[in-house]
Amino acid sequence: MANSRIVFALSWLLLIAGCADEYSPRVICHNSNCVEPASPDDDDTLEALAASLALEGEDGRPLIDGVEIDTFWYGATNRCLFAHDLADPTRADDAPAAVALINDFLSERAGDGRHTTRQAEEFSVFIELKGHVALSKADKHSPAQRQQHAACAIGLGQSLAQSATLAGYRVELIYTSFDPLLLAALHADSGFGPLKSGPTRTRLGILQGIRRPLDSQTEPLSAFPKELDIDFISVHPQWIRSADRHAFASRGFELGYWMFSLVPETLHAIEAHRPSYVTTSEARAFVRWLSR
Amino acid sequence: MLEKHTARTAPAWFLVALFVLCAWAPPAAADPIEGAAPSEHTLQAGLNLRTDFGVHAVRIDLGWTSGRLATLVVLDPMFWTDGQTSTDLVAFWMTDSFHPYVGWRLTTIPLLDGAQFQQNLLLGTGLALPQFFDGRVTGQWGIELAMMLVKHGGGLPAETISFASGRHYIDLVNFGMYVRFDYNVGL
Repeated sequence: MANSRIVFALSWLLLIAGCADEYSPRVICHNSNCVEPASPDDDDTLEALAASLALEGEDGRPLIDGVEIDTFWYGATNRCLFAHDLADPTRADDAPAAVALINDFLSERAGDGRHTTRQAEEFSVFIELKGHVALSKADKHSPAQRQQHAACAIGLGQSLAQSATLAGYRVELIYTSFDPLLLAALHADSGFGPLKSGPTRTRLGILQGIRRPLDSQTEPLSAFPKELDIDFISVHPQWIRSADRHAFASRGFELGYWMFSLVPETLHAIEAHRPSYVTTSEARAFVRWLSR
Repeated sequence: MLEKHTARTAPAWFLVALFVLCAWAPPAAADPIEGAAPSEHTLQAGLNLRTDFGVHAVRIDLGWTSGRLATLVVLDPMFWTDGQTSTDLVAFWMTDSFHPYVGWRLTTIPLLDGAQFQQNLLLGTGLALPQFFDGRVTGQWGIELAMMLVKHGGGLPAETISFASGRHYIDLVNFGMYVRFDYNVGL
């Protein structure tokens, strides 16, 4: 009788221990700007990117596992910008400048024998292709602009992959967009195949946010052809339904969540659904929450 | 998983306890809501339940109604599951069916070196549900808007809400639904 009680108690302890597995997603810096206090006005600027890359924990490791850089094809001047929107096109830098900053940061750390990520084996770079070419979200790319934008993004990926190979560290490239036509243009670009088959893990991912009619960017999953081999989706946890997550799983997508601000609604969703990637504008707060 | 299990079973045990309490308790002195005269006072205690992610699934109501005005403190007994707490102080205007309210919610987010405090404005309205046990148990279903105005603490810079663009505030304005079941004692 006593033995059965001991076995019963041990079983419960094992069950509880099994349930308490540690969850630690890859922390991605949203819009290259994740130093508190959150300041969306500084999204996708070199200053914010440098400050975000410089975030370190007490152990000397970076606080992030990757960054999201937004690329914006400015139709009026045919420039590939590092910008979230066209609020101030004169202030925006060209996208290669952001990649050069990332390459320098990672190469220097790798050269010094320091870690390049918070915990992941690869530094993830989300290269987002913005789906409009002027101030209004209704100003969509022409076919030629799509090809130019895709070529720019492929060039960024090639630069990141080349730097990683030369300096001996690992990066992961995830090309993301709300726009299925831009992902298709990337997939069709002659540089995408060699990049994907190379040593740097290269993926395509869908972005989804607020649904229509409240916002015009988010497209239904059916708009993204299976032929593109998309295997990742990043969504805002407060703007999806339970059925959406089942749909993502049925397509075999790895899940990422993105957010602007750290609020209980988002944290509970992260805890419940355990996405592999979390894109945050508040890296220090989010990592401290994960480490609590 | 342990947390999820707790969240699922706790409401059931609270409801069982509330049912037993109601079955043996003396009647309330007066109908606490619909028939309440302005001079009557009622104390309430009960459960504040929800399924959305804004606060924990089960919280505890402690309230006092005086005439048409009801004040309510909502406490969070599930803090031990994840270290987060949400405490509300709410004032209702009790018409016969609709109970519009304004309130304040203090949410604490556990971080490695301490807690971050998030101060929320609450606006919403409740809808009276049928009463049970001769008016001793009342219910209310409601919708709320919670707007995080300030967050501070946790060794991080303080932030206040801004409406400069959607990116500044859209995560800070959230809607939720709740249902309350309270036991009433007339004074």
